[in-house]
Amino acid sequence: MDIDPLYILQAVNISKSFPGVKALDSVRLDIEKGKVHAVMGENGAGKSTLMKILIGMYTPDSGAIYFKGTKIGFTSVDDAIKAGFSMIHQELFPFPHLTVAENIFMGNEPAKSGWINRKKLNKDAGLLLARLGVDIPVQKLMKECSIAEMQMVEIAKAISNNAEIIIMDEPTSAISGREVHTLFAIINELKRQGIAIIYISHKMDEIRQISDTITVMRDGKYISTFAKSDIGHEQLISLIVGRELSTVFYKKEPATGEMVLSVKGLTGSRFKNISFDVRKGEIVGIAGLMGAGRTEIVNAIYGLEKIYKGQIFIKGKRVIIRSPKHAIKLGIGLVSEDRKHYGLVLSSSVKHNITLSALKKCSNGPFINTQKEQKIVDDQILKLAIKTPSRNQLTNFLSGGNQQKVVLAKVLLNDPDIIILDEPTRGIDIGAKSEIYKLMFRLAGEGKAIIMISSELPEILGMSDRILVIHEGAVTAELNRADASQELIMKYAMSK
Amino acid sequence: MPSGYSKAYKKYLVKYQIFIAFAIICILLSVLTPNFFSVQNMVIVLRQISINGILAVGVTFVIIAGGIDLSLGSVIALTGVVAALFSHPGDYPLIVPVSLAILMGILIGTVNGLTITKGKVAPFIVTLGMMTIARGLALVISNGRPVSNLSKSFNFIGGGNFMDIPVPIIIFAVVVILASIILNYTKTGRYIYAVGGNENAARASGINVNSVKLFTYVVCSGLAALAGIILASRITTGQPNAGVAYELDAIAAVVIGGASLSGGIGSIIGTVFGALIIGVINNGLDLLNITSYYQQIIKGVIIVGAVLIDRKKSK
Repeated sequence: MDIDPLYILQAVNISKSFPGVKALDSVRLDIEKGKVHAVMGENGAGKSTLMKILIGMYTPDSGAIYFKGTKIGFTSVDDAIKAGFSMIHQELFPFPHLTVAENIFMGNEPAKSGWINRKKLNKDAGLLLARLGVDIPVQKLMKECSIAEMQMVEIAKAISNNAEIIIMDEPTSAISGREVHTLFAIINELKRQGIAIIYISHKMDEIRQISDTITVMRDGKYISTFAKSDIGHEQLISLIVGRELSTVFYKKEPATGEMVLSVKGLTGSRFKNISFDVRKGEIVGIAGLMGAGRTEIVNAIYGLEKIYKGQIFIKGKRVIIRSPKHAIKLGIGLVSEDRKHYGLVLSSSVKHNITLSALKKCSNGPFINTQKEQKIVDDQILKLAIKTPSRNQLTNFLSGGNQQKVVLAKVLLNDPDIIILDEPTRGIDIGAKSEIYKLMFRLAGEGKAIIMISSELPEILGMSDRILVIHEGAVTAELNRADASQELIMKYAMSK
Repeated sequence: MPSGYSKAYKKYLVKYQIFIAFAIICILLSVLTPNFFSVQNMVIVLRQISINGILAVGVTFVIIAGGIDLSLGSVIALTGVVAALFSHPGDYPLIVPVSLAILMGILIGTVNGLTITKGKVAPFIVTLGMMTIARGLALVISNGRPVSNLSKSFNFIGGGNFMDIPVPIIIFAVVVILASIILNYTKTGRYIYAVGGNENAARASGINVNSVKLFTYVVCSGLAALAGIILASRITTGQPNAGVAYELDAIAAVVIGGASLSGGIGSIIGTVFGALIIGVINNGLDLLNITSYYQQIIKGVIIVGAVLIDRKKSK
């Protein structure tokens, strides 16, 4: 491999697998000094994994990284920082009770034989912030800073470590327009000082504004790299999306049954004025970017999230859902996007998880009828083809796909009329995926009303009768399957 | 297949490690002291552990549900004093002091549970506060003095025999059986494991998490009250300074018994063996004439060692 001296950083043929998933497949990335390099791709395209490899959080299975012409292999984040890498994470983890200056020099305090030189600490912090052209009092407590200010502190910290490459992961996801403007001014200043920026974002307009070069990734693969001026908006979107629909989906007739669920003007902390209906036998897809508020909407319907305003009707009757317990009673079932935190009790067995929310079915008064329970569990294991050595196996030891089937088995045991599936195929292999699709069609055929959130556009397009697109907590489009395309959904998902 | 065989063998060892540990300790002590392995001594051990055992069973509920209870030692003192105050000869039938003490325990458990669930205060803090509150209450209602001169029927609970078996052992056995049934064969028991294993998933599965937690604290303090009655009866005094640090022995038994302090894992049978191991070691060291100072050191090493082995295993 020839090393091109033009690039400060070259990652070549990087591959990384996790159990059941190939997260990165021979990916490359070439970064120039003093440039902003945007990395784009759908959720799950492998951007985060690649960044985590660059910053030393993961070790790649294969491939090489060259930094200023020398091959490097970080074994820890500490290594990476010392070498001149820094990452500004999407979620910041500051020390809230310490000052701005103390945060900037955390772990790197100017000190003499163990005693911190406070005067120098504050002076140096002031100089660093001035270098960025921002004006934050160095003695201000971190908890009193805005998120934008915290970000600037993080950037100051990065340059205090003499970072030559700064990775920014969705830096504008939590800050406002004016603050974005300031951030961009800082980024331009960093560029001028010769620092390379790797910029991850879903927001098209930002990418167009700030980046010099764009690399597109898809399904863990490198697609291509362009100078910003060489690629148009539509072209970029189709590259990001870029797949033909695979054949695992089954077309079905659009449902025309009675209305089962109606939501009118639902407003909560992360979503506003959401209205939609779901019919008997219908699959409604909810598309949108991660963090758009999709999960919060369905959680609100399931009684897990506060509703400020709006109404929910089940089969025409107004309901006020107070808790998941109540939602289950009303015939709603939810399969959470976060299997490990909201789906399974990992320290419990397959059996105990499957019957957890329907113990009534197999008990006499307070006592569980063990034989009946075993029979019910064995039925569900068979019906959903859960691969487990025994019903007493701890769910912790099952594969992602089988864990997901256990959650489905649990939810379906209550025989809900309305089934909400939040990212039902995340992190599971293709075989289990197609089994879950088959199951969804069967359930729709039985007359269940299904809501499916998915970040995978082929899944949304292949499964849904109707598609709602959510952007920043609001519905930006409602599309019939026939009218929808990946490009159209992406357009509404990224802007109003 | 030799490898399959050794794997199965290992699995067996891991599953029954607490019984194996207990057996090894017993064998060791039988060799070291001639008096250890006798029926009389076994009965002594069982009677000694019955109070700690009952406490440990109660705190097993709390720990499996992901909580902790530090107030037990003080609850023992308070409920012992309450029982003693109504147990002077000729005052009230036995049922009165016993019910009042148990009610007091249930009340304390309810306060603990509600402050933790509704008030959203950490269990460690709530029960630490209750530890001093209950101790203070015990001192207030007894005027700081031991309450003695108790009826014969009351003293029978801790000191009597039924068919040659000390009554505390019988009570302990009944508690163990009932607790095992609740944890293994009832919906509530299942919910306790679920809440401790993953509170969010439990809530999303339609479980009323708060009432499950409340239940565990009520059971725990209720059983502490039972232990308080037995202790007061055994020492024939309601002693407001009794039971100091008893909660720590109880928690130690639960942890040695394989429960996880982060919740979701544990069993009554494990806890019983945890209490037995502590009891046997105390007894053995007594028989070996090792002073209580050393006993404390040895006990501490065993608690940490047991958990250390457990963590190694789970990795």
